[in-house]
Amino acid sequence: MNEEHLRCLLCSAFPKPEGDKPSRDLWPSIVCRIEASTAWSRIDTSVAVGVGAGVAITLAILPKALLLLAYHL
Amino acid sequence: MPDELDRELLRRFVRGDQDAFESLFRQFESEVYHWILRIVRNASSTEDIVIEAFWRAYRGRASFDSSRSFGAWMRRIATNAACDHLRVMRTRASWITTVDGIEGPKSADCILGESIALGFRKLPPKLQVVATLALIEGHSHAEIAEALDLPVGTVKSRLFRAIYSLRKELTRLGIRS
Repeated sequence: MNEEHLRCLLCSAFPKPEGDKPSRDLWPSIVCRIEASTAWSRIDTSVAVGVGAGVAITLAILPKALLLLAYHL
Repeated sequence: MPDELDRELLRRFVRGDQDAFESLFRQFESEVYHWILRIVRNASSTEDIVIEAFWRAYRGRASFDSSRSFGAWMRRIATNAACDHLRVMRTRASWITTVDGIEGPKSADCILGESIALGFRKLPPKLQVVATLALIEGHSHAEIAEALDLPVGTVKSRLFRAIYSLRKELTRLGIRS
Protein backbone atom coordinates (compact mmCIF):
# COMPACT_ATOMS: atom_id res chain seq x y z
CA MET A 1 0.00 0.00 0.00
CA ASN A 2 1.82 3.15 -1.17
CA GLU A 3 1.32 6.67 0.13
CA GLU A 4 -0.88 7.71 -2.79
CA HIS A 5 -3.21 4.76 -2.27
CA LEU A 6 -3.38 5.54 1.44
CA ARG A 7 -4.18 9.18 0.61
CA CYS A 8 -7.08 8.05 -1.63
CA LEU A 9 -8.44 5.73 1.06
CA LEU A 10 -8.30 8.49 3.67
CA CYS A 11 -9.94 11.04 1.39
CA SER A 12 -12.80 8.63 0.75
CA ALA A 13 -13.13 7.81 4.46
CA PHE A 14 -13.01 11.48 5.49
CA PRO A 15 -14.95 13.50 2.90
CA LYS A 16 -14.84 17.29 3.08
CA PRO A 17 -16.88 18.16 6.19
CA GLU A 18 -20.02 20.19 5.73
CA GLY A 19 -20.53 23.44 7.62
CA ASP A 20 -19.16 26.66 6.24
CA LYS A 21 -19.72 28.50 9.49
CA PRO A 22 -21.00 27.73 13.01
CA SER A 23 -24.72 27.01 13.20
CA ARG A 24 -25.14 29.54 16.03
CA ASP A 25 -23.46 32.51 17.65
CA LEU A 26 -20.75 30.99 19.86
CA TRP A 27 -19.94 34.18 21.79
CA PRO A 28 -22.67 33.75 24.48
CA SER A 29 -21.35 30.26 25.26
CA ILE A 30 -17.82 31.65 25.64
CA VAL A 31 -19.07 34.38 28.01
CA CYS A 32 -20.93 31.75 30.09
CA ARG A 33 -17.77 29.66 30.25
CA ILE A 34 -15.70 32.64 31.40
CA GLU A 35 -18.25 33.65 34.02
CA ALA A 36 -18.56 30.09 35.31
CA SER A 37 -14.81 29.84 35.73
CA THR A 38 -14.43 33.17 37.52
CA ALA A 39 -17.46 32.94 39.82
CA TRP A 40 -17.15 31.37 43.25
CA SER A 41 -19.02 28.08 43.32
CA ARG A 42 -21.09 26.98 46.33
CA ILE A 43 -18.38 24.46 47.17
CA ASP A 44 -15.71 27.19 47.17
CA THR A 45 -17.86 29.30 49.50
CA SER A 46 -18.61 26.36 51.82
CA VAL A 47 -14.92 25.44 52.07
CA ALA A 48 -13.94 29.05 52.80
CA VAL A 49 -16.66 29.41 55.47
CA GLY A 50 -15.70 26.03 56.99
CA VAL A 51 -12.00 26.88 57.21
CA GLY A 52 -12.74 30.34 58.64
CA ALA A 53 -15.11 28.91 61.24
CA GLY A 54 -12.60 26.18 62.16
CA VAL A 55 -9.83 28.73 62.73
CA ALA A 56 -12.16 31.01 64.79
CA ILE A 57 -13.35 28.14 67.02
CA THR A 58 -9.79 26.87 67.51
CA LEU A 59 -8.63 30.34 68.52
CA ALA A 60 -11.61 30.76 70.89
CA ILE A 61 -10.84 27.46 72.64
CA LEU A 62 -7.06 27.65 72.47
CA PRO A 63 -5.94 31.32 72.26
CA LYS A 64 -2.31 30.22 72.32
CA ALA A 65 -2.90 28.52 68.97
CA LEU A 66 -2.63 32.05 67.54
CA LEU A 67 1.14 31.85 68.10
CA LEU A 68 1.26 28.54 66.24
CA LEU A 69 -0.87 29.99 63.43
CA ALA A 70 1.33 33.11 63.25
CA TYR A 71 4.44 30.90 63.11
CA HIS A 72 3.06 28.93 60.14
CA LEU A 73 1.93 32.06 58.33
CA MET B 1 -5.01 35.25 9.64
CA PRO B 2 -4.75 39.01 9.93
CA ASP B 3 -1.73 39.89 12.04
CA GLU B 4 -1.60 43.69 11.81
CA LEU B 5 -4.11 44.19 14.58
CA ASP B 6 -4.42 47.22 16.72
CA ARG B 7 -1.78 46.72 19.40
CA GLU B 8 -3.97 48.58 21.84
CA LEU B 9 -6.74 46.01 21.28
CA LEU B 10 -4.31 43.22 22.09
CA ARG B 11 -3.04 45.03 25.18
CA ARG B 12 -6.64 45.49 26.36
CA PHE B 13 -7.26 41.78 25.79
CA VAL B 14 -4.21 40.87 27.89
CA ARG B 15 -5.55 43.11 30.69
CA GLY B 16 -8.84 41.12 30.60
CA ASP B 17 -11.07 43.57 28.72
CA GLN B 18 -14.04 41.47 27.51
CA ASP B 19 -15.02 43.95 24.78
CA ALA B 20 -11.53 43.64 23.29
CA PHE B 21 -11.79 39.86 23.55
CA GLU B 22 -15.16 39.86 21.77
CA SER B 23 -13.69 42.01 19.02
CA LEU B 24 -10.83 39.51 18.59
CA PHE B 25 -13.30 36.62 18.67
CA ARG B 26 -15.38 38.19 15.89
CA GLN B 27 -12.26 38.69 13.77
CA PHE B 28 -10.81 35.21 14.24
CA GLU B 29 -13.87 33.00 14.79
CA SER B 30 -14.23 31.95 11.17
CA GLU B 31 -10.57 31.09 10.67
CA VAL B 32 -10.33 29.19 13.94
CA TYR B 33 -13.57 27.35 13.09
CA HIS B 34 -12.26 26.26 9.68
CA TRP B 35 -8.89 25.28 11.09
CA ILE B 36 -10.47 23.03 13.73
CA LEU B 37 -13.00 21.64 11.24
CA ARG B 38 -10.13 20.57 8.98
CA ILE B 39 -8.58 18.64 11.87
CA VAL B 40 -11.59 17.01 13.55
CA ARG B 41 -13.83 16.84 10.44
CA ASN B 42 -17.10 17.11 12.36
CA ALA B 43 -19.11 20.34 12.43
CA SER B 44 -20.90 19.84 15.76
CA SER B 45 -17.71 18.88 17.63
CA THR B 46 -15.95 21.83 15.99
CA GLU B 47 -18.32 24.35 17.60
CA ASP B 48 -17.57 22.97 21.08
CA ILE B 49 -13.83 23.02 20.39
CA VAL B 50 -14.00 26.63 19.17
CA ILE B 51 -15.63 27.60 22.49
CA GLU B 52 -13.01 25.63 24.41
CA ALA B 53 -10.16 27.20 22.40
CA PHE B 54 -11.32 30.80 22.94
CA TRP B 55 -11.94 30.11 26.62
CA ARG B 56 -8.38 28.75 26.93
CA ALA B 57 -7.11 31.85 25.12
CA TYR B 58 -8.90 34.13 27.60
CA ARG B 59 -7.68 32.09 30.57
CA GLY B 60 -4.10 32.15 29.28
CA ARG B 61 -4.15 35.78 28.08
CA ALA B 62 -1.41 36.78 30.54
CA SER B 63 1.05 34.58 28.65
CA PHE B 64 0.30 36.29 25.31
CA ASP B 65 2.91 38.71 24.04
CA SER B 66 0.91 41.54 22.43
CA SER B 67 3.79 42.33 20.07
CA ARG B 68 3.40 38.92 18.41
CA SER B 69 0.79 37.40 16.09
CA PHE B 70 -2.54 36.73 17.78
CA GLY B 71 -3.56 34.51 14.86
CA ALA B 72 -0.59 32.16 15.21
CA TRP B 73 -1.04 32.00 19.01
CA MET B 74 -4.75 31.29 18.62
CA ARG B 75 -4.08 28.58 16.04
CA ARG B 76 -1.72 26.78 18.42
CA ILE B 77 -4.36 26.89 21.16
CA ALA B 78 -7.00 25.64 18.70
CA THR B 79 -4.72 22.80 17.57
CA ASN B 80 -4.13 21.74 21.20
CA ALA B 81 -7.88 21.83 21.91
CA ALA B 82 -8.52 19.76 18.76
CA CYS B 83 -5.80 17.29 19.84
CA ASP B 84 -7.53 16.88 23.22
CA HIS B 85 -10.78 16.12 21.40
CA LEU B 86 -9.02 13.57 19.17
CA ARG B 87 -7.57 11.98 22.32
CA VAL B 88 -11.10 11.39 23.63
CA MET B 89 -12.22 10.05 20.24
CA ARG B 90 -9.19 7.77 20.19
CA THR B 91 -10.18 6.29 23.54
CA ARG B 92 -13.68 5.66 22.18
CA ALA B 93 -12.22 4.14 18.98
CA SER B 94 -10.13 1.74 21.08
CA TRP B 95 -13.34 0.33 22.59
CA ILE B 96 -14.57 -0.63 19.12
CA THR B 97 -12.62 -3.51 17.64
CA THR B 98 -14.72 -4.23 14.57
CA VAL B 99 -17.15 -2.35 12.37
CA ASP B 100 -20.43 -4.18 12.86
CA GLY B 101 -23.54 -3.70 10.82
CA ILE B 102 -25.72 -2.84 13.80
CA GLU B 103 -27.60 -0.18 11.81
CA GLY B 104 -28.58 -2.66 9.10
CA PRO B 105 -26.76 -3.94 6.05
CA LYS B 106 -24.03 -1.69 4.63
CA SER B 107 -22.23 -1.63 1.32
CA ALA B 108 -18.65 -2.90 1.07
CA ASP B 109 -17.43 0.67 0.37
CA CYS B 110 -19.21 1.96 3.45
CA ILE B 111 -17.66 -0.73 5.67
CA LEU B 112 -14.24 -0.06 4.13
CA GLY B 113 -14.59 3.69 4.80
CA GLU B 114 -15.64 3.11 8.42
CA SER B 115 -12.78 0.66 8.96
CA ILE B 116 -10.26 3.18 7.62
CA ALA B 117 -11.75 5.96 9.78
CA LEU B 118 -11.61 3.64 12.81
CA GLY B 119 -7.98 2.75 12.13
CA PHE B 120 -7.10 6.41 11.65
CA ARG B 121 -8.80 7.46 14.90
CA LYS B 122 -6.63 4.97 16.79
CA LEU B 123 -3.48 6.91 15.87
CA PRO B 124 -2.02 9.21 18.56
CA PRO B 125 -3.63 12.69 18.16
CA LYS B 126 -0.34 14.41 17.26
CA LEU B 127 0.10 11.98 14.38
CA GLN B 128 -3.56 12.32 13.36
CA VAL B 129 -3.24 16.11 13.07
CA VAL B 130 -0.15 15.94 10.85
CA ALA B 131 -1.58 13.09 8.75
CA THR B 132 -4.90 14.91 8.29
CA LEU B 133 -3.24 18.12 7.15
CA ALA B 134 -0.73 16.33 4.88
CA LEU B 135 -2.65 13.39 3.44
CA ILE B 136 -6.26 14.58 3.45
CA GLU B 137 -5.92 18.37 3.18
CA GLY B 138 -2.83 18.20 0.98
CA HIS B 139 -0.73 20.81 2.82
CA SER B 140 3.04 20.82 2.32
CA HIS B 141 5.44 19.91 5.13
CA ALA B 142 6.53 23.54 5.38
CA GLU B 143 2.95 24.80 5.70
CA ILE B 144 2.18 22.28 8.44
CA ALA B 145 5.40 23.10 10.27
CA GLU B 146 4.52 26.80 10.26
CA ALA B 147 0.93 26.19 11.35
CA LEU B 148 1.86 23.87 14.21
CA ASP B 149 5.00 25.78 15.19
CA LEU B 150 7.14 22.69 14.68
CA PRO B 151 10.39 22.06 12.81
CA VAL B 152 9.89 20.56 9.33
CA GLY B 153 11.90 17.49 10.44
CA THR B 154 9.39 16.81 13.23
CA VAL B 155 6.49 17.07 10.77
CA LYS B 156 8.21 14.59 8.42
CA SER B 157 8.94 12.15 11.22
CA ARG B 158 5.36 12.35 12.57
CA LEU B 159 3.99 11.79 9.07
CA PHE B 160 6.27 8.80 8.57
CA ARG B 161 5.15 7.31 11.90
CA ALA B 162 1.49 7.99 11.06
CA ILE B 163 1.74 6.24 7.69
CA TYR B 164 3.59 3.29 9.22
CA SER B 165 1.07 2.90 12.06
CA LEU B 166 -1.90 3.33 9.74
CA ARG B 167 -0.62 0.68 7.32
CA LYS B 168 -0.15 -1.67 10.27
CA GLU B 169 -3.62 -0.94 11.65
CA LEU B 170 -5.30 -1.32 8.23
CA THR B 171 -3.52 -4.62 7.67
CA ARG B 172 -4.71 -5.76 11.09
CA LEU B 173 -8.27 -4.80 10.09
CA GLY B 174 -7.87 -6.89 6.95
CA ILE B 175 -7.59 -3.99 4.47
CA ARG B 176 -4.93 -4.56 1.82
CA SER B 177 -4.19 -2.83 -1.44
